[in-house]
Amino acid sequence: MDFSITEEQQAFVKSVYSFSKNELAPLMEEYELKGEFCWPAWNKMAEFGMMGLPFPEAYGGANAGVMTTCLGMEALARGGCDAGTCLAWGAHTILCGVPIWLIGTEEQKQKYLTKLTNSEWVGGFGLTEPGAGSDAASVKTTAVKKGDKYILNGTKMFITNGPIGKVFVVIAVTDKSAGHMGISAFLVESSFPGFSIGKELNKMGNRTSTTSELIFEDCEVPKENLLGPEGMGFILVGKTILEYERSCLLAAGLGGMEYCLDLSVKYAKERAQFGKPIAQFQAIQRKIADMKIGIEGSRLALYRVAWMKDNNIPAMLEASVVKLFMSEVGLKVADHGVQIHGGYGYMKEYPVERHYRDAKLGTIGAGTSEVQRMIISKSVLNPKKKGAK
Amino acid sequence: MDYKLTKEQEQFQKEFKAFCEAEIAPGAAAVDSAGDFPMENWKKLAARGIQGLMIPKEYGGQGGCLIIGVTAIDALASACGSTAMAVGTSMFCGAKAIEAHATPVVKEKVLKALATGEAICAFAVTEPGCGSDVAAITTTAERKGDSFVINGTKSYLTNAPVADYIVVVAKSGEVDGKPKFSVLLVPKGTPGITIGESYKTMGLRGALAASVKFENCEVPAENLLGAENEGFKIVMDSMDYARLNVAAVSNGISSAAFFAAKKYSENRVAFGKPIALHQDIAFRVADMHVECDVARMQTYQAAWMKKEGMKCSPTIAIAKVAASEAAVANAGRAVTVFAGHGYMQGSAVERIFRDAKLMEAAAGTNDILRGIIAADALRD
Repeated sequence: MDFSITEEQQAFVKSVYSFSKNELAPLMEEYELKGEFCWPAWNKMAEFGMMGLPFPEAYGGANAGVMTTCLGMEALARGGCDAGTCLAWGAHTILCGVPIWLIGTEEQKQKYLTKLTNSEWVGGFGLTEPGAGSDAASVKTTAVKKGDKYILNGTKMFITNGPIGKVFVVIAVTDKSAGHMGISAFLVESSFPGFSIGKELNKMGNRTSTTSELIFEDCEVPKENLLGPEGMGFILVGKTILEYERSCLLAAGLGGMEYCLDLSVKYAKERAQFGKPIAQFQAIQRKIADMKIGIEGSRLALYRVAWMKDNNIPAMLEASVVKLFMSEVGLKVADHGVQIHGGYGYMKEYPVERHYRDAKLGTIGAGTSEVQRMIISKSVLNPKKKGAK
Repeated sequence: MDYKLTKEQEQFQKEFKAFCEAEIAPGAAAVDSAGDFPMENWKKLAARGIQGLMIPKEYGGQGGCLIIGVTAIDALASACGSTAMAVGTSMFCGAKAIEAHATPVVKEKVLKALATGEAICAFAVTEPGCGSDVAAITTTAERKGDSFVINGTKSYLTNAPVADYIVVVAKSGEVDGKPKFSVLLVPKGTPGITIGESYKTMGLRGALAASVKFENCEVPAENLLGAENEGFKIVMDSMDYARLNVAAVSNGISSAAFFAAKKYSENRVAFGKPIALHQDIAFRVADMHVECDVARMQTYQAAWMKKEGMKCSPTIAIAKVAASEAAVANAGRAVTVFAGHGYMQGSAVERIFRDAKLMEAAAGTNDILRGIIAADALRD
């Protein structure tokens, strides 16, 4: 066993952290209040090289590996880059970029992946529908082949980067009778005829990420934009992104918790009541200890998935473990953070207020906590068919 | 980075788990109801060299590291919490301090006996009036020529009723008004030792504990561990080991609760299907898996840091809190899954429920450990 990270990784963490703290964090409050995508932060992140972290150099990436990508996103969030901006990165790099990288044809990679890594385009991912969330197999959007095109009809819901995305990985049914094996994936550009977006959705948190519906009305997609074999898209995309999603994307959640703890520690040492800093009261110390315990557990669970991915070990169960554990801990950490700040924590000028709202998405997005428990219980339990006596 | 055990460690884990399941687990209920030291288990384990697992080869041990020690105690605790606590205390609290701080002559004699399982060790810090507040220790060790004279009373000493050696922490001086401590190895039968009656405990009833009274108990100076008046560091170092042991026992108890709940829910039928197919039960078992899994990783990380000689007391504290609270939560959940059956004496989970509770208090209460964790987080 060895729980260390390399010196190179340590140096990378340090540089991303100070970049985020100095360049990104000061921008966040204003954009978050407005609920607006923070283009200045996005462009700086692109310039810093965050967009293509996991991808091969041939497509403009840094070939960083899953662990280093996780460390980078953790450091970005710990430095103060807000959850919404990190989420936009996740939709762009992980949910859109990773399937193109791992399933796409060489042409698709040249055409789209390079545009994502150099941030010429913003990417997104369309699976969820008004009537299909975690039960992804009940997708209703259809794709019918007509000559050298597929004609897409349907609506996708809660799509991160919807309003700003130029290309989306979209899941649609090509053969209803084939169930899971009849669902395909497509690369859809926002300029394709028949594509439009619904109104931008107003969210509780993660407000610097933009969210909307994607609407397909006889949307014409060239057949070469089919991602993976017809009928296999849903399964392949699911396979490729789930573990990435539950490592690289969650890493920002870990960094967010650390950011919240850092702020709380600082505040507890500065704020005096009854003649001493509140950090000297046991009740405050207990909260800080609980935050720390939860964060350290989350870190191990997260790094384990990243390590497994980097070593080609399947990590479906471990990915659900970290998703569930970290997001539930995340709510507690956010709550403690606000509580330590008292009245100030309820005010918008204190970032823990934002963090509290942001944290709630953790137990909902990318498979609710309930769905994770379904996956975990199915994986660890083997009920007898009829039940013994 | 490497999150896996080595091939040899995995092999050991697999074989030792199978051994514990076949040889230790079936007797766990009897150990609990007898409330007696599980000498038969102790001997079976000694035959496999378990007590000497972490003792250097030159002293007859297997020279294994903390990772393997934690793995063994974890597996043992999922079979029998009492046995694991007794064995782990001797291995982690006694033998480790002797290995690090005793003279070669003492090591030759004592470590060798501990490695083969001929001898059992106990560690004495706690007193009737002080536990985690080590500075308040009142037991004294007075230097008298070539020996030390110990006076005072220690309480809640795991293994005391059966121990051949007791590692005793006592106040030996004062510098600038601050107490100084020395750590002494006291063999059984030294005149002046009185072992109290074994406590009647809520759980872990086979891990016998008692109070020990020292009245002008004289031990030779060669039994001093480390330097005179420098014992505080040894106590802190030993606390790290003691907490790793408690974390490992906790993880074993947690696993036992999980597997009991898993098996029961897979077989128990209600409303026409196994209760594992009812979401309330299935999700509860999922939560058990998650907490057990994360706490075990935390324990391994802490053990790895200690093994590597890193500063790790706060990380060990985190592991101990996480593991012990997972054990208590999981034991409670297991009883809930078993419902009425779980409340009956003789059901596996009823015993586990009682066993688990000590984990939150042993080797530093979780309240104390949260103080250590917070102090570290608050440090500039």
